[in-house]
Amino acid sequence: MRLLHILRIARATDPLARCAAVFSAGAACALLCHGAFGQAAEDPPANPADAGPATDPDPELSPVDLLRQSRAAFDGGDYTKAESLFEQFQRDYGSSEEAREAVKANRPLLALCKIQLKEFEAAGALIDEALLEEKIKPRLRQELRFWRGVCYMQGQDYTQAQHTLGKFFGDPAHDRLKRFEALILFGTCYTLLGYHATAAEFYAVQVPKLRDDPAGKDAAGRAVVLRLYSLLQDKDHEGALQLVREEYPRLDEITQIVSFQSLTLELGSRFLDAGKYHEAIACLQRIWTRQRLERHQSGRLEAVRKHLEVVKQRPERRASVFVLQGIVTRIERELENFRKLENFDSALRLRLATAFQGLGRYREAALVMDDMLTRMDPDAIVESATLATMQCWMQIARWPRAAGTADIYMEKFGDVERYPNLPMVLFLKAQALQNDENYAGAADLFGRIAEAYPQSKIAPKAQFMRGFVSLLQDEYDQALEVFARYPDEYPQASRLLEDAFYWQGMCLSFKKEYKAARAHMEQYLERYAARGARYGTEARFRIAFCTFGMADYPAAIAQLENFLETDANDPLADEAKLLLGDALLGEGEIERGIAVYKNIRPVARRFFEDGWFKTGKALRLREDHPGMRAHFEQFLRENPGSSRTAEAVYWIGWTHRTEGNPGQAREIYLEILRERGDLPEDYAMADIFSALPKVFPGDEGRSALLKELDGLLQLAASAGRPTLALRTLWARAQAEARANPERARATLLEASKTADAKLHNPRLVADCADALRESGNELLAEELYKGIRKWHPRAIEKDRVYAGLGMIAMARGQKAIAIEYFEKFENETFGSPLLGKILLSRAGLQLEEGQRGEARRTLEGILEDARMPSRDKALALFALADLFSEENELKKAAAYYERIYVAYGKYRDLVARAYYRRGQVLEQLEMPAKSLDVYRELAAREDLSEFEEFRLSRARAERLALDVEFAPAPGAPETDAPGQGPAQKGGRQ
Amino acid sequence: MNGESVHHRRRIAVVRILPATLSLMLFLAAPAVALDVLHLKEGDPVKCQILEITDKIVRIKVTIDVPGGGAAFATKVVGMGRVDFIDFGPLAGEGYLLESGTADDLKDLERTWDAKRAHIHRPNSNAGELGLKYADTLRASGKRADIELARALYSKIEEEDWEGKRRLQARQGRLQTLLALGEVEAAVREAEEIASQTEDPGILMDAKFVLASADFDRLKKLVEENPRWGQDDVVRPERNRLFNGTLDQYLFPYLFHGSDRASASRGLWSAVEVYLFSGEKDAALARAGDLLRLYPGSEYAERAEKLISLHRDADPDQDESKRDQLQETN
Repeated sequence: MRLLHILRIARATDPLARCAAVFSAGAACALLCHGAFGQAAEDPPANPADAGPATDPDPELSPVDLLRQSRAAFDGGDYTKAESLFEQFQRDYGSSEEAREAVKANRPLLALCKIQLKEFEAAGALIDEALLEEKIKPRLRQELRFWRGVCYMQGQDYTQAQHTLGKFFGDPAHDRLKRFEALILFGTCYTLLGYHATAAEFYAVQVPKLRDDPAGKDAAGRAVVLRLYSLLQDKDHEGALQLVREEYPRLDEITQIVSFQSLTLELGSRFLDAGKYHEAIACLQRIWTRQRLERHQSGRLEAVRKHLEVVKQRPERRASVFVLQGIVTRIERELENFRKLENFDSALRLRLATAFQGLGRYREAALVMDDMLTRMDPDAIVESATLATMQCWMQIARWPRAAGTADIYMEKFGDVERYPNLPMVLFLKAQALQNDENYAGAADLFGRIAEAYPQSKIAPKAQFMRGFVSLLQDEYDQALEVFARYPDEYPQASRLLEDAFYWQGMCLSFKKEYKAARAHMEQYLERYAARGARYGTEARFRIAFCTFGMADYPAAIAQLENFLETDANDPLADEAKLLLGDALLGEGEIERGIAVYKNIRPVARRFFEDGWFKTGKALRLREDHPGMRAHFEQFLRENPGSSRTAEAVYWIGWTHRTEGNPGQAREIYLEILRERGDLPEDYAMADIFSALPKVFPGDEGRSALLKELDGLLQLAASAGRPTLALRTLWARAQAEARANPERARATLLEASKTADAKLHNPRLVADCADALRESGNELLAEELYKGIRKWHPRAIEKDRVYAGLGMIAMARGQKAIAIEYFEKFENETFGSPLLGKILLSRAGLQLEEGQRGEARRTLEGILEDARMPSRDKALALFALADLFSEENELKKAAAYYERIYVAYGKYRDLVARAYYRRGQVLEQLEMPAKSLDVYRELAAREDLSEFEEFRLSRARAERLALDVEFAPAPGAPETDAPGQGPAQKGGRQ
Repeated sequence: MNGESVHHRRRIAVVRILPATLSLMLFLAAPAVALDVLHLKEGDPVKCQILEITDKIVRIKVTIDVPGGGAAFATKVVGMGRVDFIDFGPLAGEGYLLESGTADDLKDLERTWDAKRAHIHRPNSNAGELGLKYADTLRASGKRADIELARALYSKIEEEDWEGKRRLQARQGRLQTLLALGEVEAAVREAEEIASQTEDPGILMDAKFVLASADFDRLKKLVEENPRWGQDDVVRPERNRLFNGTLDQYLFPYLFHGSDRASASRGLWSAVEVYLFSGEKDAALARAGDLLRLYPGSEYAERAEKLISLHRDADPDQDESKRDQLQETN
């Protein structure tokens, strides 16, 4: 009876609720009906987990109470209770006529409860029933239709789901945002059905349409992600890549950017696995760093939450609430999952580097990985990438970078217990040092690896390399020690044991301990021949070599012949032939020796030419002069451009001279000069020109030579052979130098007109440059000097280049530039005879700059260097003495002057000056008697009479003599003799 | 008392009660103009037209709606201490100039900039944005006088703009003008400083490009002066240092900001040029191939394609796979 009352009220008070026609109950019912229909449209499903615990309904509740409480539970999100109460109402009162309308009215709510509780099948059935009602509100109907589609999806009836959702989308009356949602779910059904290509195509068509609608941007973004997923599932990787490229500029518009980027990473990885490196790079380049992704999404989440709060206050924008809440949920979930990923950045970078490596782009790979190592937190991936980084650097020969990478690794991963790669990293560093020719560093590091990590697999190799690198540095004793100990230290390192044993023998050989070396190599063959000795050939050669070294020629001949029988094509064969030839000649078997020499292959250039010249020597010993001549003539014909051309020419000439045909000898020289003298690349021609005076000896010879040179000049002029002209003039200057230096210089100046630093022998060009400089033509000289340096960086004339340029700078007053050139001289040249002169000049500059301390050190350096020419040492002494004198260290100065004329007597000019200066200094020291002695000593040296100091010392001695003779004896009173003033101390004027 | 005198007296009374700083003018409704908005620290924002502004005061003109239609205007002086910030209204055509201004609009850009430049340091002012647009347009002209003017503009914005991001952009623009004016050393110094201070990728890439280009010039000069550097134990290390440094810097955008097409493709092409210059043809062709595959349609892809065609024509036997896998040599 109570129920009937409720129903009547409902009908009376709610004009909207059709259920009022059935229920004439009160406002509560009507409100419930209305509210029920309305609520479903407004409130998105809450999390079932938030629902309160299920409670058994009270069987005593009236229908009104049931409805009221069920509605309250629904409103409060307690769907379990709401469901229970609705169902109880249905069970208890559903069959009565009066309750039928209420049941119908609340059916949607019940359906929504079931959806919340994931009872999709039941919810679906309820929705079907509810949708049969005509009086259902449009908004509620829309809601139910939408969720029906979802229920079908949940029930895996995807076809039906698509039908439902498609219809939903097709109805323009439905809420736009919900329609977009339905569209997305429609597409998702394709995916769930496994029709990935269809899904991808579907989304491809829909995305532009969604984008056209301002409200569709979020849906468009989701569709893009789903499309990418579908393409990946369909293994349409090219399509996926195109999508990634197209969408990258719009990444900001995609809510689930982390998902998109993760899929992009997956795509990149697939390309990488397939060896499609460019495609992999295209993907991996488009992935943001973790920080950027997190920052971006956190910012977006914040913004969306704020927007959601605002929208929640606007009832008219309820649909937006649904969408925004969905966005919040998706971003939150995405971020939560993303944050669990470890090593995202390093994994990404490693993949990128791997792609570059796959392409052989070692520089790129190394740069990417190097950046990882430097900037990223040390993790397992960064650690493992280090070895690859070093290998990439070494692949492109960037040894310092490889070594630097190792240093960073040690800083970050220096604990070998945790990072067992450390010894290998250090080993690679040592190899990099070795390749960079830092042998000392490499040997040291190899040794430290072996000592610090004896249990590591790399230790045996490191120790072996320590020995080997020591050998490379010619530190044979060190190498021997390492190799000798090796078997005891690493008995298990079978392969390297053989290497160590072999190289031990080689060390002995390099040390010229031939007997020990031979015995060792014989032992090597004994020990390892059965196992296919890896150095068998080398060992056999070395045995023969050592035997030869011991001058046991018969044994050496046998061993070398054996070697050549078994290893005729080995690269060592040519050296073996040379030794064999020498041994045979040593035993007097000249013919056989010559025959062996002839077999040396031209490709082994050095041995080949040695063989020729030893043959020539053999012919000479046999006094077969025509044979010798023919032999060297053949050499010249067959080996044009050889650096030993001049030597061959010399021997040909020698044969003629020996046969009493000096004219023929000369002709040979001249002939070859006429033939090849104009070839700029044949530097040996300068040697032949230099050798001409030997075949034109004496004054008469010199005149004849000059005449011949004039002939060559004419030939050069008429035939337009500038190089021949240059060389001829140069040779002429050489011939004139002793007799007429001025004339010689003028000839060189003439020659310099055709001198080309790029083409011509640096020796000739340097002579021209010197002549130009000495005659004051600094500009041209500078040009030639710089040209030599530019085109012949290894020329031994570099010393003259820097000396010349330094002198020019000094003459111009450009002290800093001069010092720069002198420093280059010191740093880049070795053993130059000009060193003393350069250092003296530098000291002079330093003095001019007031750098007295530096000047003194420079001068002392000259004295200490045993290589210095003695005149330079004398000059250095003189300069030092002058320096001491200026600084009032007179005793020192006196001593230094004395050293000059005592130790460097052959430099008479310096001797004369030194005497005189000493005398002066002694006078300054108020030692008139001693100074008089010195002056007298000089005055007595008739051999020095040509020097001004000789004359001056005589005059000084005379004057001083008076002072000294008339000086009072020590202790005697001073008297004034008439005509004389008091005696003056020191005799100073 | 007659009505007129009453009216008159009332009017006087109205005037008397007005604050001394107010003056009242009656106008008919004026045409709408973009107004400025004064956001006060306390109280509602005031829509107005700023007549004069200093660091101490702002003199504004406000519109007062008169009942029965029309509008009255009043001027008012407000102490800057009361102002939180000012929302400056756009000048006529300002939006167009910022979005789409070209070299044809230089005069308008200049005028607009001049009108707003005094406010560049005030928070919320977009004077700096106008200045940057003006400077960028000048720089793009390629004329020396314009570029120098652009440099001066960038300097001003860099020093005075209230917004940090624009100051950075101005610095970047100034760097570009230094290059355009051929002041390479100054550009390099600037770039070195930028590279050590900033993490902003855009400006960092520009700075590294400047440094790389300077190193490339040094490399060219060194090789020109030392053509046989390979034999020269003194020069060779320096040559290798410049060669590697130039390449590493050019490749930076490609490797670490590969999605920035313009910078990445420019850098990769520059690397191709370095390899070509150094005689490493295979390495150059390999990178040209990479450019074509990764940045198709870019300006530099076209050049890469031409280069590859040129060499393909010269060496027709070279097969595709070798071209793809061409490795770097040293």
